[in-house]
Amino acid sequence: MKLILKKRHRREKWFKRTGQMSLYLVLFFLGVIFMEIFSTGYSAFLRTEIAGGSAPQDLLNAFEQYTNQKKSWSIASDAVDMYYKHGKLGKLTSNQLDTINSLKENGQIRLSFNWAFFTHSDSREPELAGIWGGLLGSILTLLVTFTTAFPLGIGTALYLEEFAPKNRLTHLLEANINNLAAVPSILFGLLGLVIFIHFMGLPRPSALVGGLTLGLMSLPVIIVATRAALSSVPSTLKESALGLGATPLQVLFHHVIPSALPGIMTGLILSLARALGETAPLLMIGMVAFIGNPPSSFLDPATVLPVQIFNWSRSPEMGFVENTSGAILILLLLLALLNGIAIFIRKKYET
Amino acid sequence: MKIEGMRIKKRPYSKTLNLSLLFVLFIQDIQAISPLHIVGSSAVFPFAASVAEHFGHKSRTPIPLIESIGTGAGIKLFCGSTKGPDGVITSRAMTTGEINVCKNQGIHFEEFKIGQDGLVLIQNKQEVPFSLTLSDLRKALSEKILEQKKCIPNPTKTWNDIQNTFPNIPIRVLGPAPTSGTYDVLIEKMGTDCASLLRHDGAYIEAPANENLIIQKALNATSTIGIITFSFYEQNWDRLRAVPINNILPSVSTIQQGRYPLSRPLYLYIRTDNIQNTPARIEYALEFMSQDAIGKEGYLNAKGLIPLSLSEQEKMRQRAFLLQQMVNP
Repeated sequence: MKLILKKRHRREKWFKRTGQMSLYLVLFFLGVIFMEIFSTGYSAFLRTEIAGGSAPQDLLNAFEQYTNQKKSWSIASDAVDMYYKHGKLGKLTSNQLDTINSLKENGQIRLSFNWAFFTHSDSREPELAGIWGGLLGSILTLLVTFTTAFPLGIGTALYLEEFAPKNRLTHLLEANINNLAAVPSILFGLLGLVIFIHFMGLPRPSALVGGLTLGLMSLPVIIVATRAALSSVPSTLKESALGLGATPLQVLFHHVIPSALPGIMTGLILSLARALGETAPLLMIGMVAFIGNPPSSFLDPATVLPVQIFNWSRSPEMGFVENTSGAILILLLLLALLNGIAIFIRKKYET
Repeated sequence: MKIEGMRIKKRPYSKTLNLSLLFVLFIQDIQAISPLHIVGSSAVFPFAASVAEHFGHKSRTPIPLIESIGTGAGIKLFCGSTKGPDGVITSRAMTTGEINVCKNQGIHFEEFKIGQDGLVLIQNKQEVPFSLTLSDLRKALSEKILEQKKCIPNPTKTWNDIQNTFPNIPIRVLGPAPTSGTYDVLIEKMGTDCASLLRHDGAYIEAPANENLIIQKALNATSTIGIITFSFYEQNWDRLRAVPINNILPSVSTIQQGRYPLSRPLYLYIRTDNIQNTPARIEYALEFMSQDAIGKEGYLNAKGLIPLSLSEQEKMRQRAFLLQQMVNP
């Protein structure tokens, strides 16, 4: 008898330990990834500046020559930036190195906070490249995604869950929607390319097409999440309301939707978060492009933050390595924010 | 009660939404100054984008949009319809077939050679130095090789199998995937006896179109050779060693003179029909061909473009000037 009990305890302990171990392992990997991104990315938020007029043109940013106004500090070129921050020699000649070292001795070179990283759009010069264009593109794209996928998704889910007859056809539809939710996202890119660009002739790399494509992608996810939230509303609630004489529509809008709202909102925000981090379908519709101007309308050429990260990671200049990591940090922050909002809504309305 | 409360409460909609709604109303205006649209090769993409940026800063017009979708796909889009892009950048000349497709669509264009590019075989500096010939490369990388007048699957396993002076290490080469123009150039340059494919048995590893990745892998894995383009080699030369091909090391001068075997020309094609209404196309080409860009101390050289010879540069510049005179006689 005692032996069996001991065995059981041992098993329990063993199970607990394995669970703990896997948790620690996951945390370890996560920590390593974060450390890696942070340690390469933090320097993207700093930039090297040289006191105005003290250095030859070839040490400065290539676009400084087009601005006539005298500045007290001008932006250094990416080669100087890399040397000053990390000691990487790159293509600097020995003459240039001497100049930089003498600037250092005279205190005419400094590191300052890189505001341009947040206010500039994409650039081929790493020291000028910023995330503003990508961020604005992401916001516009998500707005389109939200305005198309939200009403369509909620409407479909409400109809299927509350009004549609339960027959062969609706079962088939249901299975298909569940399937679509798991389809690789690049296929939605192909669909968007054929429908929105080839057939409807919308402008090629625009926030409108990107948003519609991502809307197609998040539609099944929203439908599935909304239906799950609706079906978790206890039937006693509906029946008692019906018993008191409410019409089905009243039951839906006064009781079912309010109590399913936290679930619906959570599903919606999570699917938007997925759309925010998505690249693959956007590759198909031509959003992988160099776009130097931030978009000013839904039809302007636009790119999104993840695509910008993808573009930077393919660039030859060494300065883009830290820019890539810096932009990943911002994207992670945004995703954490969205997920935080989802948790907040769930917690606030759950009771 | 609750519903009434909802009705009174005004929704403070976001500033962006407000702005974007406003902008939608003025779409007509915005489309009038829509930027140039250039598509094509990922090898020319960094240069075209750099020119676009300088062009935008100089002329204070919207920065042209450069899309990197590969040479073949770019030409298809360019020649596909008259509403297509304004120009295409390629890592090879257009074929006669492609030119005919374009002409049939009523699309006229001008060809500009913008410079040269080289494929560089790289290895880690700690490795045994290599020196290869094009025929060594063919023997090492072809899927099938000719032996006694028959095509057989490539039997070579180590570099030693190819020449007995080579070290006895397995062949492992990381290079471009078949979708890229670089892959075509590699096969064209090394020539094939049998099929026009590189081997699939693990000796040649197709890397996605990310040359930074190839560099990382070549640096970290032992006895691995990577194939990258010259601009990436130039940015990372202090960590990498280039493998000489036919005893010639890749450098600006050897590629410019055409002595380095794995080099190729890069092109820009600009549409010239209806040019009176789209002067920006010519201005972009002019900027691309200017002394500032592809000249001796030009900003494209700093980005790793290997410039044309002086006489060729002059020829291209003349071509752009002639086009401009057609617009403003």
